[in-house]
Formats: sequence, C-alpha cells, structure tokens
Amino acid sequence: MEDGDSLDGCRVLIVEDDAMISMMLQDLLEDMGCSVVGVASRLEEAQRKGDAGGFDVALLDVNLRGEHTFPVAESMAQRRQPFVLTTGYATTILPDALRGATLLQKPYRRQDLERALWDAMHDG
Amino acid sequence: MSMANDIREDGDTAVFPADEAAGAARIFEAAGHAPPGGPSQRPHDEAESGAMEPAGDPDEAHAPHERLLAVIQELQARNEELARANSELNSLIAGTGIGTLFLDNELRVRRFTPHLASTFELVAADVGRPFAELAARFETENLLADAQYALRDAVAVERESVGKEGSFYRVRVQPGHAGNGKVDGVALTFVDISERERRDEEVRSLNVELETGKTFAESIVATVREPMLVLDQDLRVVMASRAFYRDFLTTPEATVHELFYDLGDRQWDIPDLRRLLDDVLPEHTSLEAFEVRHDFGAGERIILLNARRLRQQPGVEPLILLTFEDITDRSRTMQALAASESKYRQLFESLDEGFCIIEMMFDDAGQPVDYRFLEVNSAFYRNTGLADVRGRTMKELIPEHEQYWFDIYGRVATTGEPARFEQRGEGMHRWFDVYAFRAGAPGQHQVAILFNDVTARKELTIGQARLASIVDTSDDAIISKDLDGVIASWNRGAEEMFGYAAEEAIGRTIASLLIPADRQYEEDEILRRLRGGESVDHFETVRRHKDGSLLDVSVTISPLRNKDGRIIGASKIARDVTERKRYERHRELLIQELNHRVKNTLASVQALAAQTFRGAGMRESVANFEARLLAMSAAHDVLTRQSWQGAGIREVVGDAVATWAGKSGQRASFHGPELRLRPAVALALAMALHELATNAVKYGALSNKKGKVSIEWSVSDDPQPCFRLCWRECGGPPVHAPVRRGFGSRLIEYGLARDLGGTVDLSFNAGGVECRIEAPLEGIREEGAV
Repeated sequence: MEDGDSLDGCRVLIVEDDAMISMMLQDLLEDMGCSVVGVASRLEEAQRKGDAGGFDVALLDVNLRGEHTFPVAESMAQRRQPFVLTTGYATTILPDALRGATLLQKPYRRQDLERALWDAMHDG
Repeated sequence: MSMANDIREDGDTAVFPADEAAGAARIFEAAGHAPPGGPSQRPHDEAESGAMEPAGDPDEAHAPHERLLAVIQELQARNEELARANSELNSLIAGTGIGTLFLDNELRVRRFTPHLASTFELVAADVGRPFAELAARFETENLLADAQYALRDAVAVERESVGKEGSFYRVRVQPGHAGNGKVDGVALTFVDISERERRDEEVRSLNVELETGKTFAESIVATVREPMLVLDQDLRVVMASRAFYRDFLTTPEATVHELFYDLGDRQWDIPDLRRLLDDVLPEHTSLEAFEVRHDFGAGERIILLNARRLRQQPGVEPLILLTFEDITDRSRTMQALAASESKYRQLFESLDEGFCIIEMMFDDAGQPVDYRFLEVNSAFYRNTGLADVRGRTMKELIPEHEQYWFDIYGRVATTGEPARFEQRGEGMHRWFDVYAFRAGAPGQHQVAILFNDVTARKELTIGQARLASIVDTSDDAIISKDLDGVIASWNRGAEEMFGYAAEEAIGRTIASLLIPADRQYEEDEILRRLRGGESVDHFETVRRHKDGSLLDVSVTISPLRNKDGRIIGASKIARDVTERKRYERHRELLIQELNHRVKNTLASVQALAAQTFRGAGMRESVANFEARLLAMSAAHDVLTRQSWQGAGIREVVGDAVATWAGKSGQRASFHGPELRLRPAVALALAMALHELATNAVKYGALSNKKGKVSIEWSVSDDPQPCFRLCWRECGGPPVHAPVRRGFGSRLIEYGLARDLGGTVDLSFNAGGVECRIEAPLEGIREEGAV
C-alpha cells in the first residue's frame, strides 16, 4: 500500500447505522483526503444510494439494525462497484456471490481502514 | 414173542424140510393107529374107547387061550401105548395152538383140534361129515381140490388164506402116511400168520422208511449249506455234501471212498487233526470248532471243523460226521467290526460333544426316577464338569438334578422317540443342547445322549434378547444394512425418527430412503470405509424424513461380521440432533450478536474518543487508547472463534504477537504447551501482553533494530499443578526503571495477578524487561477442556 495520497480525492459512500461510528469514519476519511459523498443508515436508503452511484468505493456495515446489507453488496458486486464490508462479527458467513469481498473487522485502526479501501479499489 | 419168533422161523422156510415132514408124518401115523374121536370132548378115556374099534388090525384070531391071553395082554399093552401116544399127541396138538383137521381117505372129517373148532365153528357132530360140505367154512379157495390133490398124489400143498376179520392163515395140506407106505388121509393145518403178516408188513414199511431215511439223509448231506463229510471208521469218505465239492474245488469221484487224509493235496493231513480224529474222537462223541488254516487255491481260508461220532446200534459200523465251517469271511467281518467299533470309539472320543449311554431307572409305578451312566466319552467330562461317573447314578452325583431330565429320558427309553432340547442343569450351572435317542433293545431302557455345553451361547442369546429389547425401546434409530446399503433391520426408534415403518424400510437402500440428493456421496464413502473394516463415529450429517423434512443426525456406524469374521454388513445408530443443532445454532447466533454488539460498542467508544480529543493536541494519547481498545477487541475475537468456550493460549499469544510483530519481523518468539484458558484469563493475558509489547516497542527490545522478545510458558506439577509464563526482552537499549508506575504496569501487576489468582513479577532489569507470571493451573484452565 502506498501513502494516504493514493486515496486522495476518493469519493466514499458510508452505509452505517451507528451515528458515532459514522462520524468517526467521516473524520478519518477526510483526514486521508477522501471525500464522503453520501451516508446511509437504513437498508432501502443504502440500496437507493448504491444504485444511484457517484462514488468510487462504499463502506458497507453488514448489519443495519438487524438487517443484512448483502443484497446491496451483491448489486454493487454485479456492477463491479468497489466496496468494503465492515462487521462486528468475528466470523461472518458471506453468501457465495460475496466470497472474496474485502472484510474489515470493527473496531479498526486508521491503517486497517486505508488498506481495506485500497484493496477494494485495486482488487475489485 | 417167542411164539412169533417160532412162527417166523417156520415162515422163513418156504417148503417143508424132509425130516420135519417126516416128523409130522409120524405123529399122524400114531394118530392113524388110534381111532379118531371128538378131540376136545374126549380126552384120554374116550381115545381109549375109540381104540375099541380096531382099524384094520391084521393079527390072526385063532390062537390058544394062553396065546390069546398073551395076545390080549400084548394088545392091552399096545393099546395102552397107543392111548398114551394118542394122549401125548392130543396134548401136543392142543398145546401148539395149531388148528389141525384130519380127513380120511374119503375126505370125511376124522378129527380136529380144539383150536380149529373155535376158529371155524366146528362141532363134534361134524366128525364123519364129508369135507366137501365144510370146505366153504374155511374161506380158502380150492382147499377141497388141494386135499384131493394131496390125497391122490401124496404131495403136500401149501396155501395162504385170509380168514374172517382179516386174519391170515397159512394152510398146509399134508397127505398122511400109513405104515405100509400108502397114503392114509390128509391133515390140514391152519397156522394163524396174522401176527407174522403184520411183522412182515412192519418190516416192509421199516425198509421203506429206512430207504426214505437214507435218501433223506443223503439229500440233507447233499444240500446242507456247509461242507459236510460222512466218514466210516477207517476215515474213508462215505458221503460228501455238494458244498464240500464246491468249497474245496473237488469232485465226488476224487472224494468218495477215498481216505480223508488223502483228499485234495492232503490238506487235511495235519498232525493236530490226526490226533483229533485218531485219538480224541474215539473217546468222545463230538468235538467242535477245530480251526484249520489252509490255502485251497484262492487265498488262505479259516475253517472250523466240527466232528461227531454217529451213535449206531451195536454191531453196526459207526460213522463220523464232519462239518466244515468257513469262517474266513466272518472272521474278516469280525475284524472289520472290531476295527469299526474302535473307529467309532475313536470318533466318540474325538467328539467335542459329550456322549454317554445311560440306563433309566423307574420306580414301582413306572415313573422315571434316576439313571445310571454306562458309557461316557472324555468330552462328557469337559462338557459337564463331572468326574468319574461310570457306573454311578445321576442322583448320586447331583441329588437336586431336575426331574424334567428324568422325564425326558424316561420317555425316550419307553417310547423310542428321540428327543432334542435345550435345558439348564442348575446343579452343574450349565445349559445343555441335548439329543437323546434310545440305545439297544427297548427292554434295556438305555438312552444314548449326545450333548453340548451351550452356557456361553445361551447366555449370549439371553444377552441378545435383552439387547433386542433395548434396541426396540431405544429412541435412537438402530438399523442394520448389508454392504450394498440394503436395510436388513429397522427398530421402532428408526420408525419414529424417519417416519417409515419397518416393512416399508427393510429391503430398500439407505441411499434411496434417507439420504438427501446432495449427500449421496456420503453413503458411498461410508460403505467404502465399512468394507475396509473401519467404523464411522459420531458423523454429523443430514437425513431426510419420509415427509421430506431434513433431520440433523449424528451417526455411528460399525461393521457387522459373521462368525468367521467376514464383514457382511453394518449396524448404524442414528441420533436425531436437530434440536441440539438448533440450540447450537441459536447459541452461535447469540454469541455472534453479543460479539457484534461488543465490537460495535468498542467501535462507538473508539469514535467517541476520537471525537472528544479531536484537535486537542492529544494525538498520542488517542493512539494509545485506540491500541488498547483494539487489543481487547482482538482477544474477543479469539473467544468468539471458540464460542466463548475458552481460548487456546497459543492463539492468544500468537494474535497478540501478530499485532506488533508484523513490523518487527522475526524478533519475537513464543513457546509452550497448548492450554485452554478461561475467557477472563485469556482477555487479561491478551491485555497484559499488549501493554508489555507497547512498552517494548516504545522503550524496550523492539525499540531498536536488534532487540528480541521471547515468551515461554510451562505447566509443572510441584507441589500442585502450576502455570508459569515468562516474558523476557534482550538486545534492547539499557532499561531505566520508570519513575512512576504507569497504567500499563499497574494493569499487568495488579489486574493480571487478580484475574489469574496468582503472582506477577515485573522487573525492569538493565538487560531487558522481564515479566514472570505464576498461577495455579486450576484457576486459569477452562474446565472440561482438552
């Protein structure tokens, strides 16, 4: 991984139901030079914003108030839209369509986040 | 008897000898001088009176007185003499019992004897009657003609006649002779030969019998199955049986009239046999079973000789009867029989089954009460545990032996019906499989018994029956199948678990009935392993119910072997673990949820801290805080992976090292036995290691390019199980003990010590930091963990 500037100007969509974490992410991402282009905290909002596009990479919390965001991730995968799945689960069983997706365990350090975003955009 | 003899002697002479005829003539001549009278009515005196009529006396009558007197006297004397002769003659005639009839020259009756009078009903008045009138009475043809012929030709005629009531007479017609050579009358004598005739008849029939007997004897000798010889006393062959010719390959020509010893190639000329026939036999009537071995041309034969001296009447030459009994075949048979008996004995001895012959004993009412051992084989003792039974009775050996044994054997002995049964002999503590059948004659009450001690099998069977009832009442599905997976048995548990009745399931394959389409490969793998003799233990999989629903099952499968040890199938026990699985999944979900929440909370706390200290120049403090938070989170991950059932120490240490060793390369090493830690201990240890590592990276061995960290732990047993872990740094810059105990040190020294229930010794040695942790194993190890 290169330095933070490789993510410079990178447009990020945040899907996260916890406001505190969402705010922290925005701070972190902006520190890295990214621009947060959208935040979603509900599934249908996530779906809509995902479908709308206009971002380079999405940070997707797997569980939104008890609902899985796999459908959103799957449609992103179909569109070859890079995304990172964030999860509190130690071991998350991913659907077949999402095998190989970049996974980030909560809580995470800044460098973990940078690596995950970079991986998602370059492997995808 | 003597009379009969006399008559027979007469009868033997066909014609009268001349002298005897002359004797008879003399009698007749004397009678002729005396005038005839009634023989029976007139004894001597009448005969005297009869003499008063001289019959043609030629003496002259002209003599002087004296001369006359002398003549008279002489006549007197002669008369007396005559009378005496006459009287003697009469006595003789009466005494002989021979009927005699005297006729004169005119064939008139002159006189007859009393015997004749009674036989032919003659009376005194018949004297003087012409014989022609009486002849018919004598029932003899031509008797008159015979008399006339005898008178005319002076010859004697003899004829036999059958009288009344079947009596036989021989009638002799004899001309009488007068002194001058002329014929004077005829005498007819009737001799009753009935007796003699009977004797002749007997003799004739005896002869026939004799002849028949002889033929009979000859035919017996000829046809008797054994070779037989009849020898005379010189030991010459008189007769031989056909069997003799056949068996000794000889002929009548070469045998009859030959000396016994000369027969054949003189095979009988044996010293023993000679002594026997020459010496012993004359002294004895018979001898038996004299054995002779000889090759008669077709291999050696064994012959038993029986000899018998035939008793004959005195004066008749004795005969010797010799019979030959060829016992070669019998001897061979006996030998074969003996051999076969010994073979049977060997067989009985080599049997694993016990064998005995018993004699049943009954009481007065005919009830079987006991039995006696007559014969036993050696397996008998092995199979019963009894000893020395021969000749003893069962009740002597085991007084409490059950009555049913006696009943069964008693029935076999009396009915002859064999019996097969299994029974327990409590006195012997054994089960027996028995086959009993009658031996010998029914009246002997003997029973032969062939039996096995089947205690082990019987108890196994009882065990199997118990097992079967367990199988039947088990909630687990217990199924047996062959090596092609075809179901052979199906218990009630299986019926309930899979919904198929036994009759629906048996005969179908496991694969077609129970295994979901996507798991068919499992059955192939299971069958492959079974054929190799492997078992499958607690294999968790999914099976299909009759209604299509899927069941989580835990399956244990073992190969079934036949008694030769060959694998013929498998037994399978399936337990429905759907409930357990559901529970486990639920628990898993709960843990996931817990973890999710913990992590999210930690993330929230992280975000909170970041926001709180944002831009306050506390960047380093925030970083320290973040690192501690992440260390705690990592320890949680370990616990979550183990479903909070403790954590392996290697994983805890490894994860801790991994977070900072990534940059430090191979500068950290750890070593020690695997140990399952309690969740709280795992968390405390992870946090302590994080603090030590953080310090090492900042100030210690990992703060330069060459320092190293080693973590080693061990478990020892002295005096009670104890856990020790040592963190040791080296190669770092010189260490200065901190002036103030920071949060990290306090966390290690107090927090860890308390969580472990042990001691922690943190030393800031000049050469490097050293941390020694010691705790009772009991307090840190997860219970029930491996």
